[in-house]
Amino acid sequence: MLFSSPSFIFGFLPIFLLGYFLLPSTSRNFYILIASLIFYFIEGGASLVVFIASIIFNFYFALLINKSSGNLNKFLLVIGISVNLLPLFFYKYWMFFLQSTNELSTSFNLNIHYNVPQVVLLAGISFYTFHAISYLLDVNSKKVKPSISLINFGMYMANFPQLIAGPIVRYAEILNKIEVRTLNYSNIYSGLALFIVGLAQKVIFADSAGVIADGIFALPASEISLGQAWLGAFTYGIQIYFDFSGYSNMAIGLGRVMGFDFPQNFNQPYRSHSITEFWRRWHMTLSRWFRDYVYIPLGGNKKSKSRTLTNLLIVFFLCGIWHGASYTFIIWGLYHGTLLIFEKILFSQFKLKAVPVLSQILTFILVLIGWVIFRSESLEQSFEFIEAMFGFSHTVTSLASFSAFLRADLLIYIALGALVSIFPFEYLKEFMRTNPMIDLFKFIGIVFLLIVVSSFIASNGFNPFIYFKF
Amino acid sequence: MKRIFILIIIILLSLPVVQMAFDFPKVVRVDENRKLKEKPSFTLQNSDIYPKDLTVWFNDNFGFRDLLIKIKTQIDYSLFNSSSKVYIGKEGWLFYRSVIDVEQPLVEKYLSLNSDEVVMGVERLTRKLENRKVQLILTIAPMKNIFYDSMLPSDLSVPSIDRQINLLEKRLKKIPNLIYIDSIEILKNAMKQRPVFHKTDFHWNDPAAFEVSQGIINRLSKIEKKSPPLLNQKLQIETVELSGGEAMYMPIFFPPKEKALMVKRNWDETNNILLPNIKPFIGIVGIKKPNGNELGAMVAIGDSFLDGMIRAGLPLSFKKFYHASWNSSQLDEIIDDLPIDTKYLLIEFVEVSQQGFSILAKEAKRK
Repeated sequence: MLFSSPSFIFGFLPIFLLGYFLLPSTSRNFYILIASLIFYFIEGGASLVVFIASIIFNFYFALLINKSSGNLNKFLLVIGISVNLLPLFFYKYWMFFLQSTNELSTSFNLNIHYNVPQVVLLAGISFYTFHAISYLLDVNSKKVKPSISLINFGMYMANFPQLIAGPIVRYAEILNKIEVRTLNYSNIYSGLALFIVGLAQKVIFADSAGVIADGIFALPASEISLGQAWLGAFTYGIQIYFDFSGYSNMAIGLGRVMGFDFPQNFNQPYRSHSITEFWRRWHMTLSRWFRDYVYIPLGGNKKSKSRTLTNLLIVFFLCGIWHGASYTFIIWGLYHGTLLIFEKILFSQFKLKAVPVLSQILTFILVLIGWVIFRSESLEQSFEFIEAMFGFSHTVTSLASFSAFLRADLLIYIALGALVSIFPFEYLKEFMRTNPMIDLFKFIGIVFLLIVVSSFIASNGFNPFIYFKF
Repeated sequence: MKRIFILIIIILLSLPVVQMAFDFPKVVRVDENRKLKEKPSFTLQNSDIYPKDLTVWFNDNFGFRDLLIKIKTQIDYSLFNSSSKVYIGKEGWLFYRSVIDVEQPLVEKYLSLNSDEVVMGVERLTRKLENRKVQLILTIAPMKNIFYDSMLPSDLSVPSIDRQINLLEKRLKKIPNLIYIDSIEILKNAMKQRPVFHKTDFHWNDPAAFEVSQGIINRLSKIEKKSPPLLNQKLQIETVELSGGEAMYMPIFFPPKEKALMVKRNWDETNNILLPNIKPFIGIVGIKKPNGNELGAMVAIGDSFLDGMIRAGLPLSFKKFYHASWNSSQLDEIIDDLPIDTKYLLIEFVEVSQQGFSILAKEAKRK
């Protein structure tokens, strides 16, 4: 059940909120847990069993880890992490692993062929696996004490706002809000407003850009013109940003309504002047997770220069493969890792500095190239697409070649989205803080936005049939 | 103020469920020409997928859905002069997006690979029917962007004159003993005097259907050397204000209207009678008192464009007129079971119906 679906916005959410506000505070964690399990069951069906098993396992295993010490402690930690990774590996990567083995075997004329079973990816498994691993590691390093309430721990793991698509919230980040949480009108107000803004980002900006991006990426890559290639890359850049950041804002907003303070996940990444800065602004909770639980344990930048660069490559290889079981995701991850390595060398060895505007444009172009790899169905498609972007396509760009994709409304929403993605809102904060009328305008604006966004959502489900068909 | 805001938001989010529960206020449904998802019934067997099915049902039926759809489409139309379903051309001309972007290119691609089979199929069908003393008549209804390309939005390319369908029609005209009615040629002549398509609907207008009908009757009259009622009938036109299918497809609160041209039924129909229906036909028209001037019995299979020809009086000129529709009949079913008095078989379909072409191509392989 997507946050942007009518069944969530007009069905699940108002019923959940009414129950949450009416219940005594002592019952709210249990209520969130049950509601979240129902939410997961609607989307994932019987795979709920795997999820519940993960909750129970991690709850008890953390208690075990906390009590142990020395080699036993290390052993238990390795077991705990491995058990968490097993279902992730099976449901997400097993098919890819078998397919790759078969392909390699064919390339080397080996007589190995595995039947590739159809395994359905479990909803949210990448996210809740990372939640669980971060929990075990933080308990092990004594950053947090393990939870003694299965309900509270289950609520942390299952909390539906961040269950399916993040942000990746660490147990330590919400620990002080788990036991004691009072309803605060200011938080509910700002949380609802943020939810609606996030919904608008997804439904208006992301979905509008997606109409064009999907249309262009559906064309044979070898027949795309230069203009179409850049339009496709640009609109996909807008789509993926607002899809993801919109969803994160909805999750953070709902969390805030409940009294939680989820961490920020995006900070206008297209304002970045370097790839290094990009990864400090894009999917921040994922970058932090890899930094704290992979990069630093590998030695981070404390060892030799070559080791630091190797660590970066490992982290981004894992980051790529975390996004999906496909060569395109792996290459995308390695592409960013390689860019980061080049930057480190250019900035440290050659003392190069980022030039405003120019470096922002260059960074954006490099990120767009990465998105083409990320979005493509195959490496071949991504290479052909990038070739088209740099003028190696023989197809001529004409207005007619865009006509099927361009609509005035889409272009305006995409242009607005592009502006919002780089607008320096921080300069408005002071004005908004001191102006008393702003609250009223914000209030009216959010209500109006909710109605407009609801109309977009209803329209997405409008699929009329032209009756002349046989 | 924050409490008021919170209350308003929760009320707004709850309104659809309230409207569903009490069916109040009543909302006018938009016509989607499809069956909306029905509410699933819970059983133990479907208990694991029941919640998902319930959400799918809810997404199709939540309260105020139709009102919200119209708000969005009205925003698109009023602010941006745009629609996700329809191209908004000049002077109020509307064109289905899926026809121009999807169906026409699909048929072009199909014909580029299968024209030979289509021609062979039609040749075989003509001969087969000839052996049974039935004359095959074929006409393909064109789309309005062929005639009104100057009314298309400026960024749309104009349809080429070398389309596969045009090349196919040239080949079909050369098939011996087939009567191919070139509706494009008929309508291009007619449009010198008046519009031949609706502005807000995808069909040809009834006067255009009349012209094509007369074209058919003219050809058959020459063969039978007769002068049936519709042959020399003077066309009288009246206008009716309507919002056609394309306007309603958008759908907005105030759909664009047009003064649509309709045929005034100024001919004598008293001698025509509706006969008891027999499957697979959806209607049979006969003559009460034949006067010898009627054309032989016709079986016609077609779509809504044929309906326009029927409204324009096509059945009146035949001893019997058997009307079949693609929605309720199969061509081979009809051919195998032609009424004994059949003299003519008229096949009509729109140029974007790939299924029509593939049915004809199948005839090439049929025993």
